[in-house]
Amino acid sequence: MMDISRRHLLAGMGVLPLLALSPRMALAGNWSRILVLVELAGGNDGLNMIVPQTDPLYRQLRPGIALSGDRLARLDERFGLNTALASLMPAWRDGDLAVVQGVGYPDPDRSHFRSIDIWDTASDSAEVLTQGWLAQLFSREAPPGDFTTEGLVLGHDGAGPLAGAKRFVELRNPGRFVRDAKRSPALSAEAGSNPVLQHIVRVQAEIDRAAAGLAGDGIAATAPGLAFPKTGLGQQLELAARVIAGQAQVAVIKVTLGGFDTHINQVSTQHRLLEEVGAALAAFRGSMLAAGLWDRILVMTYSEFGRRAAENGSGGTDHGTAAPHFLLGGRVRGGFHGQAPSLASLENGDLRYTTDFRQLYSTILQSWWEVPSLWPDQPSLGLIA
Amino acid sequence: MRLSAGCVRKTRAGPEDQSIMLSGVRVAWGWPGVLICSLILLSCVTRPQADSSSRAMGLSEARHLLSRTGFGVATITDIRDYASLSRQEAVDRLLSSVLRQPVTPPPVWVDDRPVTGAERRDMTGQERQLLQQQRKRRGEMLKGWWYQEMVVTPSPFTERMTLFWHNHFTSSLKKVREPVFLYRQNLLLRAGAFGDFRELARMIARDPAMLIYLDGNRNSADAPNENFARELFELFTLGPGNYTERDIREAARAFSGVRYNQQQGVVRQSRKLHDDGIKTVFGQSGSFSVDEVLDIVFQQPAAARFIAAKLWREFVSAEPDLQEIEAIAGTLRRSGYSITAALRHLLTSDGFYDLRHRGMLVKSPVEILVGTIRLFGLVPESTEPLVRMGRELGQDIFDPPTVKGWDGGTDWINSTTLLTRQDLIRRFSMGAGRNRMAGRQRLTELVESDLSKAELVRLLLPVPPLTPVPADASRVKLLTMTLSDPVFQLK
Repeated sequence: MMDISRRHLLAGMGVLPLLALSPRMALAGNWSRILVLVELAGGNDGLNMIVPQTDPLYRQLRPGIALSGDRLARLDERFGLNTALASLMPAWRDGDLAVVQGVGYPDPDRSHFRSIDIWDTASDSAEVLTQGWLAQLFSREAPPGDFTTEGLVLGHDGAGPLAGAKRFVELRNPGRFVRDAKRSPALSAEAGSNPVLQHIVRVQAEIDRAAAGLAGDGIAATAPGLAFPKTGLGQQLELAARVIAGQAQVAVIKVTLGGFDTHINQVSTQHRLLEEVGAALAAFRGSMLAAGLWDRILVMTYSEFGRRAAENGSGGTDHGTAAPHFLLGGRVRGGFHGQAPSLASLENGDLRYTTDFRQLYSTILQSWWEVPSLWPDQPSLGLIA
Repeated sequence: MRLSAGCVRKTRAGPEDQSIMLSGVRVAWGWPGVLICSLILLSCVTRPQADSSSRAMGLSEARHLLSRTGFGVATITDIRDYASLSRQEAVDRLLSSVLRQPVTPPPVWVDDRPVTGAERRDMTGQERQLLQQQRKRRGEMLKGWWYQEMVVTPSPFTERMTLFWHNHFTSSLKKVREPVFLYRQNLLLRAGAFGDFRELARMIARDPAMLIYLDGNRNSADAPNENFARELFELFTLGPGNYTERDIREAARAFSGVRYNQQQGVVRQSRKLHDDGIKTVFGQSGSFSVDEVLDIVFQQPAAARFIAAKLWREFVSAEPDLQEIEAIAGTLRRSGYSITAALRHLLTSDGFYDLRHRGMLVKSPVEILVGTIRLFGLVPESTEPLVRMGRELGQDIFDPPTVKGWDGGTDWINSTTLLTRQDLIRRFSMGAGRNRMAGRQRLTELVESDLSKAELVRLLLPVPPLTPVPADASRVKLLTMTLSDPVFQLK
């Protein structure tokens, strides 16, 4: 995993044998495993993604936008997959795709901004935290110090769960990033007590470090395997694939697709968006399989909330609550997990969540990275083989 | 980026040509030309009949006031003009000189009647594609128009407030699609930027761009759409925690039927589509209209507090000072929601000038771009690069990322945007490619000025630099080092 010079350097320092023997290593997490977060920004309508097609209430609540017939691919006797995501059917059949039903949290907030803050910080509905959940984790259980960077944010949607973390970078074009970093002024000074200057100095230090890790062989010239779609998300995931194939050391890669706030004409808009999601994820999976890296990857989708059970009058849906989410990867136990919320027992027109989103986070910590959960009352789901 | 100097223009001979036109006389580029230019600039400025009593605010406070209400920087001429005034006089002068209308002529197409939905439906696929391309082109022109205005305006405070409201009552070209509507919304925000906040909200509730952006156009009695009502409460007037889900649903009923009529180009509340039943909003019941709901909203104490806090974050500090904010909210209420009264209060307060708040705000992308251009006295030959750079730096004007607008603050600076900012400063100060000479023009003026080295640094930076410049550095070196110091990113 390490490039030669760094390995030599560490060996020369006598660090490698120590690391190998250190009992701490066994406890410090399985950091060869990578988490890829896919944010569906705007509030993705889960009911029209994983569709309860045999439930008559579904069609009653959504006479105008309910999906049926050739717009659904069969997942089991009750649920159909929006065919916009048909490109994920091979992953479903191969048992690589888990659908976790009814993901949400108590006392849901229907504000885009507050709700994504809750997802990003793993806070309770009534509690405001400033640090993202991965920042909280990394301050307690950090990936190895020689990592290129702990987190890589490839979308345009901000640090999210990495907010407040010491080590992450946001970038769009790695070549340009490395080139620009070489020309950026050296900063030797301390930032003093000004928090804004401290932020700039931290970002600068992380730029220098990540640029060193991404230079040379840190990023593959092309992604292995299939071609990626020329969409925003397709390009982000192609970049993710190149970083992983290039063996730059990174724990988390976050990508984002926005536009899910479908108050009007939802069916066509969501179809276009989910098609982008499906095609990009299918290409990413193909690429990682081709590179023999799929077992090291866990992909998770998330969104600030699902949408109202009933459609509104504009062929769309207003802000709601729980929704299903995907976990995808070589070690994932495919199939349905958790309970789909009942359409017969809505709360003010909204779905009642059945799986707390922090259970997904606990699963990632305990079963994927093999570190203690920060949310001990949220048990890990049996998702990872 | 192609730029030419403010009071001089390059001839059409091309960027490599090192001669300039000055008052119609062709002179050789170089130090003499720059000096003549500077002298003309200085002589154009009339000195104010200033009261130089002990109440004079001085250079440091004048710089702070002008940079925070302008584009993050101020020229030495302006600073000297204001330094001799008291805070009250300075703020009065600033507020009484703001423009309500742009000085830059708009693109020619802003008077075109927008293509209606029905017309669009009747188009062939190819025609639709052409329309889409035309809208895209016009959207970029609109952005360029605003950048141009920001660069040349004699009233930078107007632009800052228009941008503030654009980031508050957001709408985006991506959803609205029709650039004409965004242009009109910009004029609306600009005209109301220093007026009555309640009136601005009333206008926004019937603004075509907003009706499209937040689906108000799709809200009818039998098919309510809550989007506008929710964001009105959460983001425009009250803030989270000051309303209930029920208030949203009931207000959405009151807003139902407000339609932009594409044929006639007017906004009306359709009787057929409006829910005229009894609604209960914030405990009051009635068959409310749009304005009646807004009246109730502005009776909530949270409304003044919410906008006062947002002005505080914009002009003073990311850290709220609840006492100061409550005082500004009080001024807002007493003045009938006068934005000018709130700004006068804020900009003359001790809190605003407190040294603890200096250099604690990050210049937005627009501020770093426009401010640096204004500082150097450059006039862009094309605004296209400004639009592109703004987008790369994370602020694509007329296309905010979400209805919440740009979060700003430290969010402006991440690994990508910091590198882009550094690249930008490098190109401005050292010159790159074709703008080499132009970029150096104003720097040269600063180098030649009567300011001491220490004064130069104090002019450019809100607080001392992170990396102090060696005492023996040349004045040119001092300038380039100062501009590339992280503190130049702050205001």
